[in-house]
Amino acid sequence: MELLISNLSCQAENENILNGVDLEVNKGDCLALLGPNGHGKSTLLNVIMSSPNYKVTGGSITFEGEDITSLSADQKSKAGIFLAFQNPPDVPGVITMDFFKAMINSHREKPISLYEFYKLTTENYQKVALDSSMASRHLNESYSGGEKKRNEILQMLLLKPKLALLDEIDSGLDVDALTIIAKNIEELRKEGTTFIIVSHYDRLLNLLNVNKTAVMVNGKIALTGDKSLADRISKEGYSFLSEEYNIDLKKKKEEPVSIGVCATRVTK
Amino acid sequence: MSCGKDNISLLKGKLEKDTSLLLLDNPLEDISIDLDEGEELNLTIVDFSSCSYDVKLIFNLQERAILNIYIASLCLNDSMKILKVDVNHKKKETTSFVSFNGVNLSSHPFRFLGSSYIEENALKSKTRQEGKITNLIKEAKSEVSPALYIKNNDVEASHGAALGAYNEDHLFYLTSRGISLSEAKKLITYGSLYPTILKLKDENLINLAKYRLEKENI
Repeated sequence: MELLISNLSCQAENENILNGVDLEVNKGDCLALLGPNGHGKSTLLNVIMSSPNYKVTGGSITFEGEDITSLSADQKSKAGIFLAFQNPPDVPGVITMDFFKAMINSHREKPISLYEFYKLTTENYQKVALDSSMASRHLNESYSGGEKKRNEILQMLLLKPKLALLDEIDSGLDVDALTIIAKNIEELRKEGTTFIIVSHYDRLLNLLNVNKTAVMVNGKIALTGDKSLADRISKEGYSFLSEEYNIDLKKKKEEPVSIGVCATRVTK
Repeated sequence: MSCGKDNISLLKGKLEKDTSLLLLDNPLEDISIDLDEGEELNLTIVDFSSCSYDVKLIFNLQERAILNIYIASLCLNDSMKILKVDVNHKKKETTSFVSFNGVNLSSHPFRFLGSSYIEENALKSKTRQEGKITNLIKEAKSEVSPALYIKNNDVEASHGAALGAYNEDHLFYLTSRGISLSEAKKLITYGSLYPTILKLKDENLINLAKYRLEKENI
C-alpha cells in the first residue's frame, strides 16, 4: 500500500471539513478524486500535504508504511509527496530560479552544480512548453493561469515524486496545454509515480490511464470504483449517487466569505 | 548618476536623475528636495544601518516633474525608525511613485508614513504610495500608512499597505517543495528587499548591501 488514509478528520476555523475519510491508494495507481464543489477534495489534498490552514482532529495518514500524519510539509516533500496547487500563489521578490535551486537542493545531500541545474531546468521547461527565461522572473508573478499550471507540472518533473497530488491541474488550460500536461503525467507514471487527481472535467481523465475513482461528498469518501465510475459521472453528473446509493449530496454548511481590506496596517 | 555609501550629504545638493544611497552606518536625515518643471528623479535608498531616527523626506513637484522613490529598510535589534515621506504635487501633470519595503527585527517602533498631497491646480497628476513591512519577531511594533490627500478630481491616485508576519500561503507553498521553514523565510525576506537592492546603480553598492544582509543572517 502506497497511501492509506484512515478515518481522517479535520477542521478549518472550528468548522469540520473532513469527516472520517478512508482511502487506499496502491503504488502506480492513478486515482480520480471526484465530487461536487466544496465537499472536501482540495482540503484532503492539502491536509495530506500538511497545509497550515487545516487542523487534523482525528485519524491517520500512512505513506509507504510510515505514519506521516504529523510530519511538516517539507518533511512530506522529502518523503516523496508532491502537491500541484489549484491556485499557486504569487510570491513577489522570490526569483523562480532561486526557488527551484533551493527546492532541488532540499532533496539532495550535495547542492546541484550550475551546469546540471541549467541542463535539468532547460530540459524540463521544454517538456512543459514554457520559455526557460521565465526562471529569472518572480515566482508565479504575472504568470497566466495556464503558465502557473505548467509551472506546477515543471516542479513535479524536477522533483520526480513518488506520490503526486494534482488539484484541478486542468482548469484554465487550452487543449494543447492539456495534452502536454497529460503526456508528462503519463511519463512520470511509467517511472512509477502514483497519482491522485482532482478534476471536474473528463478531458484530462480521458487522456490518462485512470484506474480508480473515488467520490467525495460532505468530507467523506462516499463511493469508490474503477474508471467506469468517473465515466458515468462525466455523462450523468452526481444525481445518480442519491438515487441509487442513497448518498445525501446536500452540502452541510456554506463556506465563510472573505471581505476586503484597506490601506493602513498597525501591529497591535 | 549619483551613488553613495553612507554619503547622506548626497541628498543635500542638486540630485542627478538616478541617485542611489546605501546606508550601513549612518541614519537618514531630514531633507527637502524641489523638482523643477519637467525634472525627473529616480531615488533608491537602501537603509541597513542599525541607527535610530525620526525623519521626514519632503519632495515638491513642479509641472510635469516625475519622482520615483524605492526604499528598502531593515529595523535591527534596538533601533527605532520612523520615516515620513511627503510628496507635494504642486502643479499639473506631476507623477510620483513611492515604494517602501521594510523588515522589522526590533521591538521598538518601525513606521513608514507616506503622504501624497495633490494641490487643487495639480490636475492630471498621478501618484501611488505603497508600503510593506514584514515582522520577524513577535514584539515588533510596525506601522505602514500610505496616505493620499487630494484636492483635484482629475487625478490618478492609489495606495497599498501590507504588514505582518510571513504569508502562511507563501510559506506552505515553498515548504511543500521540501524547502525548510527557515530557508523559506530567508528566501521571502531577501526577496522582499532584493528588488530594491538591485535598483542601486553601482555594482559595488549592490554587493555591499547583499553582504550586509548575509551578515545579519536574518
